[in-house]
Amino acid sequence: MTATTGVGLIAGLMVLGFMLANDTQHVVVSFGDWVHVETPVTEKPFHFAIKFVFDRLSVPFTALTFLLFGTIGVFATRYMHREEGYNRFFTLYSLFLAGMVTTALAGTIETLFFGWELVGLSSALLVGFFHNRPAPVRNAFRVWVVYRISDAALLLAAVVLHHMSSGGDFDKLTGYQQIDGLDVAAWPFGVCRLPANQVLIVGLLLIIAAAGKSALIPFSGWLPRAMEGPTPSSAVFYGALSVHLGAYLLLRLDPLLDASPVLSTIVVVLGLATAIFAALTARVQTDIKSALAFASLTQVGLIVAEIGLGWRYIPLVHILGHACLRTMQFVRAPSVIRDHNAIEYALGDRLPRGSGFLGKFGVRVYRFALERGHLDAILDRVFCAPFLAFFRGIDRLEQRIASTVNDDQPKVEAPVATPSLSPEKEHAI
Amino acid sequence: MPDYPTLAAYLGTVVISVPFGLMFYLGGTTLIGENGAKPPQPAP
Repeated sequence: MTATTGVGLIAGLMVLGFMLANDTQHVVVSFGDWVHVETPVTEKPFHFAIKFVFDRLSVPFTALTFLLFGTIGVFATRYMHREEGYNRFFTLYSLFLAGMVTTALAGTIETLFFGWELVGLSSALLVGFFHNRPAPVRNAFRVWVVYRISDAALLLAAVVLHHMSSGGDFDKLTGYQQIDGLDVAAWPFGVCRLPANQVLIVGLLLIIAAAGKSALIPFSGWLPRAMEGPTPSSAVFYGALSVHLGAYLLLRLDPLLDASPVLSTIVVVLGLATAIFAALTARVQTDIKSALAFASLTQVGLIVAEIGLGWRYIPLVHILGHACLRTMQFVRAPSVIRDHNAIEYALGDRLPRGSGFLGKFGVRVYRFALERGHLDAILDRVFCAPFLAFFRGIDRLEQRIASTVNDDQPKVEAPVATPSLSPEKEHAI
Repeated sequence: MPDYPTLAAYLGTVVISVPFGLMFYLGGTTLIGENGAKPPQPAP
């Protein structure tokens, strides 16, 4: 695994070297059209291209992916030693790498969607890695539900973009900019070619997709739940790579934000609200992984706000730096607890804690933070419960139709002890 | 020696192929290892 990751990293860095040596900002690797339909109605044929792009955004992100994947992979070979499901962990872990690299290098929205799905699938399966316990399975299901919403928004955005431009190629959607008499489509010089109303629709769908993937408000509830997975996967997914994918998507389609002040404002507000919420909540967490999850979310919120403010390189550098730091903190977390206990034991007393800083509002803010802004309960009622009800209804309908077709007596369902998602019961467990 | 765009395309293909190769290799070996490639165990 280390060797193959090294080969990928070296090949990626060589592409970067060639780009720098030849002063090229945009290298396209195209594998042709997956689907190509000539239609008499529209001028352009519909096509789903499999295309990968190496540019200033994708190359650093890919290099970061390989670097952290390899480092944590080596760490995990020892951390997961003799753990049941050792092989399964690495299979899912490599599935994640495939998804991340596909997403980072995607040159079309459908290629990006494919990678996005692989990341979501591996993420949910790794959260439920210890599937002989109920809590990880329940939390994996929660992550899966939120990802479905996010993916549905991204899929809808892809459909809308195809409808508008007959294809999902980013360079055609974001157009070209004239620099020194040359057409430049490389990130971050693209300009939006879509009309304002279409930009707003696509932009809102993409913001929902990004918010779901990066656990921005109102989807923040799933992030601490995702810490049920093994520590190495938590470090790479929710400290480093997966949690930044939403910000990456916004960076990739930044010309849409540049074209719409409304979208930019929404992104800034969403980012800042998430950062404030996560900064407050992180301070009252009683387990280190949840505290780190909310600390990550604070930085992700700031990164998103930076993107909304129109900066491009600052958020990219912020992502790279934050990912490396947070990964280190996550893998160090179990040792930190031990060290902390050792210091307290040596002192014979507790280490000093931080004092309150919010005066008379302190209690209210404390309760808000302790309940994680009630976002979990809201998410449960607004998204998860209707999601479950809808698919259980479909399941019942299917069983009824099947029994009618087979001329059987309808099967009387015994009440199934399905995992409840209410936060009160979660706390009780 | 291939020209620059061809070489970049080759390297790019390597970058993309490596994760998928790793995924299929690990997935395949895990499935085979857990589901049937083991030699039959003697009866107790």
